[in-house]
Amino acid sequence: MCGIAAIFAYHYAAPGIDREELRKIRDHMIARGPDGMGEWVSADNRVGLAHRRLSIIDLTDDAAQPMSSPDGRLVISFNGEIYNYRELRKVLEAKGRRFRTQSDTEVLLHLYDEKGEDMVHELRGMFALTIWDAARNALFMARDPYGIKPLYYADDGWTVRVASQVKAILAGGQVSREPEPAGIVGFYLLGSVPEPWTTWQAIRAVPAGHTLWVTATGPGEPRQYFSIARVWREAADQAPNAIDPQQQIREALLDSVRHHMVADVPVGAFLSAGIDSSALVALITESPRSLEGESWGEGEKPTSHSLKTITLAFEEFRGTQHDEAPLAEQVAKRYGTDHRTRYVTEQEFQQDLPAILEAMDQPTIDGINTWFVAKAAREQGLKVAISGLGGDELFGGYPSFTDVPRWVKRFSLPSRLPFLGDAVRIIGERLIPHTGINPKAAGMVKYGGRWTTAWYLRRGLFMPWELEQVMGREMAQKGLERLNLEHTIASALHPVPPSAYGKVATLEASLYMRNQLLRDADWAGMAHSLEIRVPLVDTVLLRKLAGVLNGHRENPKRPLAEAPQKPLPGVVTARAKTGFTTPIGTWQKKMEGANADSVANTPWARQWARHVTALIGSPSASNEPRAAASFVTEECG
Amino acid sequence: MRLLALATDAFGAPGGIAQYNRDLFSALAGCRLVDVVDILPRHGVPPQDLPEKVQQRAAVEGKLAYIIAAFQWVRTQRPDLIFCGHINLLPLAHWLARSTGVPVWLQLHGIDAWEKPERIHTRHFQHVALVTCVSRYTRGRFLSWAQVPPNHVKVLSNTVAEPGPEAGVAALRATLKLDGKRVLLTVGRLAASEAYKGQDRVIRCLPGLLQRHPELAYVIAGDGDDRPRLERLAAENGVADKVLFLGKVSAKDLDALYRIADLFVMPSIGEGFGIVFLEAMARGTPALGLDVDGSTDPLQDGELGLVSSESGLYEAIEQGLQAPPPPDLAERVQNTFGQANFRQQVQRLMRSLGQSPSAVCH
Repeated sequence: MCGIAAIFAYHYAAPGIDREELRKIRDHMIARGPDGMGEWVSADNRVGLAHRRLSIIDLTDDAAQPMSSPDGRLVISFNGEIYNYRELRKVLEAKGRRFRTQSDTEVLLHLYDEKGEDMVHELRGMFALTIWDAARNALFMARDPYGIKPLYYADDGWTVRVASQVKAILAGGQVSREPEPAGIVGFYLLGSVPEPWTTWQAIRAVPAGHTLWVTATGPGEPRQYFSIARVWREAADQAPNAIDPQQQIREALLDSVRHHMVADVPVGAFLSAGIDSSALVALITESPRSLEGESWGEGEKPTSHSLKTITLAFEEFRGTQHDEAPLAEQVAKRYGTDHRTRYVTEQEFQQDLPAILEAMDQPTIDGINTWFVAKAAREQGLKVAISGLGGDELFGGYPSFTDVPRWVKRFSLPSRLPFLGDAVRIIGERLIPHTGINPKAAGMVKYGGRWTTAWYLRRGLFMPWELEQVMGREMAQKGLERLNLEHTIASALHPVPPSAYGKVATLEASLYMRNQLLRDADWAGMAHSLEIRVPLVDTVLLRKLAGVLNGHRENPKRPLAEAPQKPLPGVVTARAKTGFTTPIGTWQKKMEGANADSVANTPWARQWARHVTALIGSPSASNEPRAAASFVTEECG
Repeated sequence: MRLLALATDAFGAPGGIAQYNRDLFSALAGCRLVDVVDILPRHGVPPQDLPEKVQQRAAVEGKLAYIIAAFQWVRTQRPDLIFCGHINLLPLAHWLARSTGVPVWLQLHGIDAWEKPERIHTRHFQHVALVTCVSRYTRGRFLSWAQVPPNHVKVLSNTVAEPGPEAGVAALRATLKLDGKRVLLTVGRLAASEAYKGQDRVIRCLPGLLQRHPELAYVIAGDGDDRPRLERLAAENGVADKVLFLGKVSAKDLDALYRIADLFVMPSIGEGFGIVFLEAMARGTPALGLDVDGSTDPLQDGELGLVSSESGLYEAIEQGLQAPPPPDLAERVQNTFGQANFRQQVQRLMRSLGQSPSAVCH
C-alpha cells in the first residue's frame, strides 16, 4: 500500500512538468508510504511519476518505485496488492520473461507488456496504478474492480495530475480550488462524496473497475472492465451445481483469505464481536499460509499466537451491551490469537480530531472508528490488517436487503401516480418535524417505488428538499442538477440484476461500500501507515458465491458464521449485529459549539455531516479543504 | 468524411474568430479522414483561393434564413460530422444532429461560453462528442456550468503563422515620431460595452513609469466607443502627450508596430485566449498579460511571456522594460503555437472522434 503521483504535460503548448510540484504531491502522502520514496521524470520533462512506499512485499530496494522496464519503455507507479502475483509470475516466466525482483510491481510491468490494458482482467487484488508507455506516448491508469484503492486526477486542458489522494493533488499548488456543487450536494445526500465527483471541480476519481488513457489529446473516456451488477446478473442465469452450497462458501472464503495473507511482513486482523471479523479470524487460523500450499512454519502458526488481533473498545461502553471487548476476547481465546483490546476515551477523540480531519481526504460521516482501530494496529507494530468489511454487502447483512424490496413492492403503484409523491412529501415535510419520525419518511411515496430511489431512501442522509437547511438554494440546485443522483445510482445498477438480492447487493457494494466504507478504510488506515485488507471484497469470491447467495435468507450471515471448521462462539452468532459502534454521537453533541439550529434534534449523522464540513474549514484543521468547507458553511447562514 | 461547419465567419471575414476558423478548417482539410469541409457562414465573402477540400457557401445573415439554409444543406449533403463554431449556434447544431444522427463538434472561443447562455439547455449537448476550447481558462469556465463529461472537452489553442520579412518599420517609427522612444503597445478594440482589455490600467501606471523611463510612449492600436474615456483618463493622469491613439491600423502597419514595440502589454481581464500576444511574440517582442483569464495560455504561464497579477502590473511592466528581449522568443513561439503543432493536434482530435480511447494513441 502506497501513495502514487504523476504529472503528464500532454498538450503541445503545456510547459514541462515542475519537479517540485511532483514532489509536493508525493510527499503530502508520506503517511501512505513512510518506508521509501522515488521519482522518475522523462528526458523531455513532459511526464513524471512518483511514489511513496509502504514495504509489504519484497522489502528490498530493488522493488522501489517508480519501476522501469529493462528497455526503459515502461515505467510504473503502483499502489495496492496483487494477491495472485505469484501465479501470474509463473505464467510469465513460462513465456520466457525474466524477473529482477520478488515484487508484485514487476509482475505488473511484464503483464502490461504482454497484454496491454487487458492486463486488468488478470489481476486479483486491490490496486491503483499508472503506467507510462513511452512507445505510445501515453499514460495508462487503472483502478481495482471494487474501488478499494483510490485514484484521482485533475485535467486542466494541458496537463493532467494524478494522485492517490485529492488533497495531495491540491498540495501541488497548481490545481483550481473551485468547489464542486455536485460533490458537496452528494456528500449531504449520501454521507460520502459519490465518485467520480469530489468536492473540487477540477478533480475527479478514476471510477472503480475502469481504465483510463491519457494521450496527447488528454484523458479519454474511462473504460469499464468490471461491473458488480453484471456478476449478479450472470449469477441468476447460472445453473446450480451439485456441490453443497455451504461447502462452496467455505472453500471460496478460505481461498480468498489465503490470497489476502500474502505478505513479507506480519498480517494482523481487526476483531469485533461481529460475525464477519470473527469468521475471518477463524478462517485465517485454519488456512495454509501460502498459495503453494505450504503450512505455517515453526513458531509461525497463527494458533500459536502469531496472528495479532485488535479490538477497539470505548470507555463509555465498558460494561454495556455495546462493549465489544469481552466477546472479542472470547473469540480471540477460542482461536488462540495474540490479542489486544484498545480502549479509546473521549479525551483521545478530542485530541485526535484535528489530525482526523487533516487525514480525511474528502468529507465523510464515518471513518472515525477505523481511524482508532488502525491506530491501535499500528501501535502493535502491524503494517497489514485484515478487516471484515464487505461481509454485509455480500451476505446481505443490512436491513436494506429486506426493506428496499418491501418498499418497492408496496410503493411501486403509488409512486407512479402523478403528483402523489410530491403531495405526500410536502405534507410530510410540514408534519414530520413535530412527530419525531425520521424526516426521510416524507419521501416514501415519491421514492419508495423504484429500486434506485428506494435504496437512496434507505441509505440517504438528507433528502433533496432538505438541502437548503445546510447550503444556499442556488448551490443546492446547481449541485442536484450536476449530480443527477438517480442517474448516478442507476448507472451502478447496469446491467440490472434480476433478483432483489442482487439489486440491493449491487447498490450497497457499488455505492455505499465503495464511496463510504472503502474510502474511509483507505484514508483512516493510511493515516497510520496501515494497509487494510478486505478478503470479503474480492471479485473471485463474488463470482464464486453470487449464485449461491442470490436469494433471501432468514439468517443472512449464517453461511459466513458456519464457514470455519471450529465454530464461532455461540454468543457471537446469537448476538444482534452491531459492527464497530462508537460513542461519537454523544461526544459530538458535547462538543463546544455543537449545532443549536433547526436540525439539532435530527439524527446525529446529519449533525455530524454539518460539523465535519465546518470543522474541516476551521483554522485548526488542514488548509486544503477550507475553500469548499467554508463555501458550504457560509451558505448555511 | 463530410464535415459540415456552422460558423459565424471564416474565409473572407475579419477578426480573431474568423482567423481561428480559417486555421482550423485548413487543418481539417489536411486530415486524410476528411473529404470535404463545407462551411455555412453568417458573414464574409469567400475568396477564390480556398484550400483544397474546403467549400464555403454564401453568407446567410438573417437568423431564420440561416436556419432554413442549414436544414436544407444537411438534408442534401448528408454530413458525417457537424462542426458548430459558436455556442450560440449550438441549439441549431443540436436539431441538425438530431435529425441526422451525426455527432457535433462544438468550438468555444471565450467570454460567450464563460456563463451559461440563457438559450442553452442540457439537452443541446446530447449529440456533442467533442468540445474544443481556445484556452484552459475557457475550458474551466465552461465546465463550471455545462453538464458535459470533462474528458470530452479539450483545449485547441490559437495558432500563429510565421511572420513575413520585416517591412516598413523605420518608416512607421518616423511617422509616429517614435525614434529614440521606448514603446509600450496594446492592440485591441476599444468597446465601452466591454472595456476589459486593460488600456486604462496601463495608462494609470504611466506617471510612475515615466519617472524612470522619460522616453516612454504608449501606443494604442484599435478603435471603438471607449476611446473618449481613455483619452480623458490619459489627460487626467497628465500623460496625454505620451499616449498615441492610432485607431484601426492596417495589417502591414500592425506587423511593423509589433516590431517597434519594446513590450506588448495587454492587462485584459476578459480574454478567451489573446491571439495578439502570440502575434507580438512571434515577432520577437516580449508580451505581458494578467493571470486572471485566458491570457496565461499564449504567455505559457510565464514561460514565453510575462504573467502578472492585477495589483503587480506596474512592477511587471517595469520588469518587462528592463529585461532584454529573449533572442529565441520568436522561434519558441513557433515551436509551441506554430501551425505544425496545431494541425497535428487537429488530426489527433479527428482520429479520437469515434475511436476507442486507447486507439487515440499514436
